Amino acid sequence: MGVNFRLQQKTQGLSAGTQNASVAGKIGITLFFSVFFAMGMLFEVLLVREIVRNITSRSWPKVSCTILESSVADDSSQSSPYHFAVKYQYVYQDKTWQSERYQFQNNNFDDYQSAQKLVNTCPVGAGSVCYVNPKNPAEAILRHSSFVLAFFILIPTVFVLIGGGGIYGTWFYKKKKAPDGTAPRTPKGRINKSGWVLVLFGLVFAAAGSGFSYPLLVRPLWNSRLARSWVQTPCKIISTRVLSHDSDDGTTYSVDILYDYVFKDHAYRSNRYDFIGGSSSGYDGKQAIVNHYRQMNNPVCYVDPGNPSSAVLVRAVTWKNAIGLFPLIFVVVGLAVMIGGIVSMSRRKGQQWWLPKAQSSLEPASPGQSQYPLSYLSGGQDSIILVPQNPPVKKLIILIAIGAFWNGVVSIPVSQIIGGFKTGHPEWFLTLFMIPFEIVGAGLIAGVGYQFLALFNPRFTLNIGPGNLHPGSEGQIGWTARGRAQRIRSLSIKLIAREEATYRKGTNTSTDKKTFFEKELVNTRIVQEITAGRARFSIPQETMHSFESEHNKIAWLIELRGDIARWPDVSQEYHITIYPKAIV
Amino acid sequence: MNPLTIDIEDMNTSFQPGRAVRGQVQWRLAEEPEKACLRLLWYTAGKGTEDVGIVQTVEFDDPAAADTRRFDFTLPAGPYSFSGQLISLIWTLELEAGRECLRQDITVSPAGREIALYPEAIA
Repeated sequence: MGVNFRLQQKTQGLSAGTQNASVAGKIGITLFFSVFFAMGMLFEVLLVREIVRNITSRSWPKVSCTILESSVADDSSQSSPYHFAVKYQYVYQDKTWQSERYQFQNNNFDDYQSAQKLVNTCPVGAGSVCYVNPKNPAEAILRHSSFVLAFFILIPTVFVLIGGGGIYGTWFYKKKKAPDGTAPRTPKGRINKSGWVLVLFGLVFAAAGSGFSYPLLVRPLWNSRLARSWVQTPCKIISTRVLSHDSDDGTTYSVDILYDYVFKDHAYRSNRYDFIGGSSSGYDGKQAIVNHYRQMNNPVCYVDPGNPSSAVLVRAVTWKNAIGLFPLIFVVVGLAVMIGGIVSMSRRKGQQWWLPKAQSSLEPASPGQSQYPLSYLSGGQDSIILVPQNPPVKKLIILIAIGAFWNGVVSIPVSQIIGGFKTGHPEWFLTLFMIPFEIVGAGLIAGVGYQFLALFNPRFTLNIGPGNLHPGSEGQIGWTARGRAQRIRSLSIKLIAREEATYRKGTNTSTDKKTFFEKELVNTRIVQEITAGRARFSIPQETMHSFESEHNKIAWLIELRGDIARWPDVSQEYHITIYPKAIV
Repeated sequence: MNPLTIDIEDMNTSFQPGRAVRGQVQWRLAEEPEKACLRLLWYTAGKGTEDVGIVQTVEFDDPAAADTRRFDFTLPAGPYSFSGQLISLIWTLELEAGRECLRQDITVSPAGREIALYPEAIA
C-alpha cells in the first residue's frame, strides 16, 4: 500500500487546504451565483408581472368601440420601425373614453406587412370591441396578448435555479461519509450519471440548433421554393435605408426598402427584401444594396398570387442563405454528444465494461478467425493488425476544422481592423488586442501545412500476437513500411503503459498522464530493418492490465517514431489491450 | 462504536480473481432499518474524478433492528487492485443499513497483493 498510502495522504492534505480556504472561496462562489440568481429573478419578476397583467385583463369587461385612426407609422428611432398606430373611442359607465393601446405587447415590426395586417383588421370607422380596465376606465386594449410569453419564463428560471442551487450547494451541501471517514461512500444514483448528463446536454444543443435551423434555413429555403411561382410585378421604391440594431454583441444592420406595387388593380406596400430577414454585421454590403435599389430604373418584386399582400424583392437562394447552415453545427455537435452519452452508458452494461475496446482488426490472412472482439477468457488469437490512434488524415481533418473555426471567428474583427486602416481610421487597441489570436491562427495554418506534408510519409502496418496478451505473457510485434521507407533515418518502437486521470478544475476538464512502464523494442538505422521486421517482448508478471472507466484509464500502447530529415517525422500511437489473466 | 460489522471468512482480505468472498454482516440499530444491503464494488481514488463499479448487490429481506446475515460473492476476473501516482483502484464491501454505512476494503489481484505501478517507489 506504499504508494497508495502517500496518495491518500496527499488527497487528505488537499482537502484540509480546501477547508481552510473555504470561507473566502464560498463567499466568492456565492457572489458568482448571486449574479445568476439576481438577473434571473429580475427577468422572472418582469415576466410574471406581464403574465399576471395578461391574465387579469381577460376579466375586463368587453365594450363596443369605434376605430378613429388606424395606420402604419414609421418610427425611425426604433430598430423595428413600423408601428401600428391606432386610436379608438368607447363608452364606459356613461362616459366616453379614447385609447391608443392595441395590446400590452409592443406593436413595432421589422416588416411593413405585419403592421399593415393590423391596419387591415382595424379599418378607420369600423366598429370593434375593446376590453376596459374597470379600475381605470381610461385604460383599454383591443386585443389580449398571447400566452407565448409564459414559455419564456423557463429561461430566467434556469438562471434562478443555477444561482439558487449554487448558493445552497455552496453552504449546505455535505457529502455523506462512511463512519471510518477515509472516503465517501458510494452514492446511490451516481453510477454513470455523466452518460445521462451528456445525453441531456446534447439534446439541448441539438434542439437549440434545430430550433434556429427552422427560421434561418428551412423556412427561407421553403419560401424561396414556393416563390418560384410568384408573379413578377413592377414596383415603385418609396424609401431606402440601412437600419441599425444595437445589442450586447455590437451593432448589426439590415436593409429596409419600402416599395409599392399594384396587383389586380389593388395597391399594396411591402418592405420585404428577401426571405431570411434579420440583421447582421457589415454596413457596407447593406448600403450597397440600398444604393442599388435607389438608382434602379425599373425595379420589380415578386407577388404571391394567392395572397397579394405578400411580396419580396429577392426570391432566389443566395450566398446569404449559407448562414442557415450555422445552426446545423449545433445539431451535429449535439447529436454527437448524445451518441457519446449513449455509448458511455451502454459500455457499462457488459460485465467487463471497464476493459477498453481493442483498436485493432483481426489479421485477414488468418482464415477462420472470429470477426468479433476477443473475450479475454476465450483463449488466444495468433495475430492482430493494429490500427493507429490518430492516422495522419484524421489529424489533418481535425486541424483543418479547428483552424477554419478559429480563423473564421478571428477574421471578423480582423476585417474590421483592415476596414479601419482602409478608411484611414485604424482601431489601434483592437489591432494590438488581436495579435495573440492572429498568431494562434497563423500557427494553426502552419500546422495544417505540416500535417499535409505528413500525408506523404511512409505508412507502417503493425501486427501483434498473440491477441490475448496479459500480464506475464510474451508477445511478438511485426512491422512493414509502405512508401519510401529509405527516407527514414531511424526507427524507434516502444511498448508503453501509462495512467490517465481526468479531473475538473473550475470549469475546465484536464487529463494528466504518467508513464509507469516503457520498454524500447526497436531502435535501428538499418534501412532493411526499418522497412520490415519483428521483435519479441514480454509483459511484466505483476503489472496492471488495460482499464478504462469514465475518468481513469490504464492505457497500453505501441509508440512508433520515424525520424525524417527536413520533413515531418512519422509519429504514431497504437493502443493495445492487455487483458486480465483468465480465471482458472 | 460502529453499529455495523463485516466479518469475512478466515479474516482474509486478499483474494485472487474468480475466488469466493464469504462471511457475515451484523448491525445493531435503534430501530428496524427500511433497507439493508451489501455491495461488492470497486472505486478509483487519486487525481482523477472518482469512478465506481458496482459488481454485485445483495439486498437483505425484512431486516430487523439487530440482525446477522451471511453473504457469498464470487469475484470477477478484474479489474485488479492497483496503486499508482495518479490513480488507485480499491475493492470494497460496503454495508448499508438504514442511515449507517460501513466499508471493508479488500485486495483483488492474481498475487493477492495490490499491484504497484511503480514498484521501484516502494523499494
